[in-house]
Amino acid sequence: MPDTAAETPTGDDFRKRRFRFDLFLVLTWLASVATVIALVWIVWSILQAAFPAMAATGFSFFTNAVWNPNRNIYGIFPFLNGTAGSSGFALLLALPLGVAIAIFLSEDFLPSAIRQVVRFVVELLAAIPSVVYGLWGIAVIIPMVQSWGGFLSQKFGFLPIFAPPATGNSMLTASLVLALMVLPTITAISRTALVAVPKTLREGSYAVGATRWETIFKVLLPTAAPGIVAATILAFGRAMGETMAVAMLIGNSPRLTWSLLSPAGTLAGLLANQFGEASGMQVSALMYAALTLVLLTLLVNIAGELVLRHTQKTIAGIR
Amino acid sequence: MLVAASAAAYSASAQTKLNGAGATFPAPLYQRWIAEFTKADPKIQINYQGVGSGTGITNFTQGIVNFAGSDAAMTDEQIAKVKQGVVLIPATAGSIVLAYNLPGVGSLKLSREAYSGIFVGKITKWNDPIIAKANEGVKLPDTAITVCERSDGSGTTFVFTKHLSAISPDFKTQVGEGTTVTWPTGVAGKGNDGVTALIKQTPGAVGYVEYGYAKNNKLTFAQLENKSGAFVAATAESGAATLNSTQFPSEILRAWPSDPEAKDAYPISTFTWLLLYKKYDNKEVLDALKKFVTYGLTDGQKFADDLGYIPLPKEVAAKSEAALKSIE
Amino acid sequence: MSVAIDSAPTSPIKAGSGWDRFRLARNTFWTVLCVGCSFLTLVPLFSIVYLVVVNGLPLLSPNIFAQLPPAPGLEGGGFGNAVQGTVVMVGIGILFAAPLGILSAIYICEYNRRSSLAGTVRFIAKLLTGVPSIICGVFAFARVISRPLPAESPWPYLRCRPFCLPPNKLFWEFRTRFGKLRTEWERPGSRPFFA
Repeated sequence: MPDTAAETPTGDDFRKRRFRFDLFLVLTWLASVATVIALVWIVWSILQAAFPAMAATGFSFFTNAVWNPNRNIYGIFPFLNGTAGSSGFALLLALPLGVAIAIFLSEDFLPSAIRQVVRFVVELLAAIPSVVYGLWGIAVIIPMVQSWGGFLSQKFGFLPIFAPPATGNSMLTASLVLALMVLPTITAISRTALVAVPKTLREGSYAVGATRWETIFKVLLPTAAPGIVAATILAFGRAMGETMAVAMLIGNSPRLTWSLLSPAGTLAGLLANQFGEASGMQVSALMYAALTLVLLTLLVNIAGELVLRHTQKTIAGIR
Repeated sequence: MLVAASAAAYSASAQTKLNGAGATFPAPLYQRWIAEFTKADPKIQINYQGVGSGTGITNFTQGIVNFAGSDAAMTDEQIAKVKQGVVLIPATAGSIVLAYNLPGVGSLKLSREAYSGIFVGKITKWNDPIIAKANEGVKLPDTAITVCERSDGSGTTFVFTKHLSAISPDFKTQVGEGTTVTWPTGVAGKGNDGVTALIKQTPGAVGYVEYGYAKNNKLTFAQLENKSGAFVAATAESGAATLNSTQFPSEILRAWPSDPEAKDAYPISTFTWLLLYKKYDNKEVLDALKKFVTYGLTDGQKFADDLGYIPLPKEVAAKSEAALKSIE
Repeated sequence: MSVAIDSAPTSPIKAGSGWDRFRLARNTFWTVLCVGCSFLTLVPLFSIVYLVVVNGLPLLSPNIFAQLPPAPGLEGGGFGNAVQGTVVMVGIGILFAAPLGILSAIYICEYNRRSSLAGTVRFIAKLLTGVPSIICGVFAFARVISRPLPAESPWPYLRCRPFCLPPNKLFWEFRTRFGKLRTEWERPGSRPFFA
């Protein structure tokens, strides 16, 4: 093709092209930076508003078990306990169930059509609004817990975990509903982890004569373990942040309790309940609690993300 | 498209709009007043949100709303913060009842010792001798008492804790009074409706709710012992007896009958206030507001008894109208 | 996504010794348990749907969207204000979030995929989805409600909405359009770990 000296691109042309102003690039770059700044801005705003309370209470905020705005005593230990307790117990219930469903969805016990239906149903559970879970909990779970809880606290009340008073609105009720809410998260990520296990491992296991379940327990689950751990951590983060359903079911009590059957309070519930009427130092203390909550969820989510990325590398390594 | 339509609706109206926010305690009555008043005068659109006395006062101080409702009126420091000045108008009054859920127990008498003991956490079972003393012949079950309280800040809590602090030194030291207090025991719900729901779904529960809510939700409530030793049920008459004996100490119409002495007075009754500015810049808003509040203080009082509020005593209503006239 | 179990034993394992029979029985036990648990999760969903439908369906009527809540003591009415409020709020939120999210997704996929900004944006967008919604409300309160505003303004509640939406938009665009295509094109045979 005729390529005269005039048409051949020169070094100058290349340099001019590289520095040409690309408006679209700038726009997209700004959008990306805005996303990053959004998170920083959220944390910074809350931090600013929390300064007065931080100066006044310092670290005793986390260890003090009394929350009394009337007397200007602010301590969120009962709420930290409630948040950790309800989320932890919810995970305890949801983890075996979620992993079981993940195994069911990744193996061919039943035809693919049925598997798709179950997968669809589990994902639908994630789409139900939090308030609806709260209402369902009030209608269905609270009566159940009232009868069973009363029985448990009478027979086993000497154990601190079942100590009276046993009410319908308790940590147990909230945990049961929270377990349902985090189930889709655990199932989805665990299923991905199980399916990502290379065929070679399964084939090898069957080749030495293992049954289906021996393969699952001894080969698949250990290999997929980091993914399942990541699923758990992310589900924990989700459970910690859950506000509406928990506030409707947990009884919102600012007193420290170790019993599953007694009312408790969570950080998110504290914020939802008391922000409306708060004034002065109470607002700042609530902001301090909000800061705690957001930093905790961020930490948990960062941990989950890092474990998930590590899984990716591990699987790639096996391949 | 819906967004555009609603945006158009916002701007195209030629009506006067009034915005109010505040206590949930009188909210049902105010909503009824609004419904009836706007039927007669559709040019005025009024919006009252029951967000709680504290938020109402905050919004009022910042100028976001035209009027506010509060069970805790306003303290002098709060009034000083409002640059347009504040006029407190007692709009209605109500009683706070102790509703309970005991299947089979139709009527219950709670002595002062009993109900202050329950709420301070000392009395934990229904068949406690202190409760049984006042209820001869009633079979009280061996169930645990579940105290139901407010999780959010509330004027209802303020009035109730004020009364309990007045009658029980134990309560005063352990809990104190305020819109948000740390109760020693029990479960908490959001708003009067939250507490009502808790009481309804928990056998053995007892909680404090505004009389109108208890009546509308068909809750059973107890007769309380007042200072003179009589057991009084919450009715319009017993509430009026409490209010009649209340004196306003100054020209600011603010007083709390924390422990009335009259023989037939119900121990826990309170006024609830409408907060208005002393000066309004917008004449239309001022006229509409004056018309609405006058309606509430005169014709509106007839809905009070139906919904479970206490109609204002005549002198108090007259004082309220005088205060309303002083606004310009 | 296809399931990698084609090599599972299809013919029954011949159970010779008692130990093998035990292994087979244990196998069946776990299968039954697993399948049972999976179907157990259908129960709460149906319970929720049943509760909502049985209590709500009889009251469903056009009034719901057209009318306002009745005053206490009166029957009828609807919650048209709530429906309108939800639509307006979500609409404005998406108006802010969609451009932001799509533009960010385009940046990290088309330009500078491996730059540190792209990696940071991916990470932070994922973190933003994990921020509890009450924190968005607290943030809006701290930034907007603490300063006085004109009445009837939905502004305070809308400011926080956009922060919850961009990450979701980002990931939807990222995965479905650019992620799978680009990864497979650049590194043939590799498996994108998005699913």
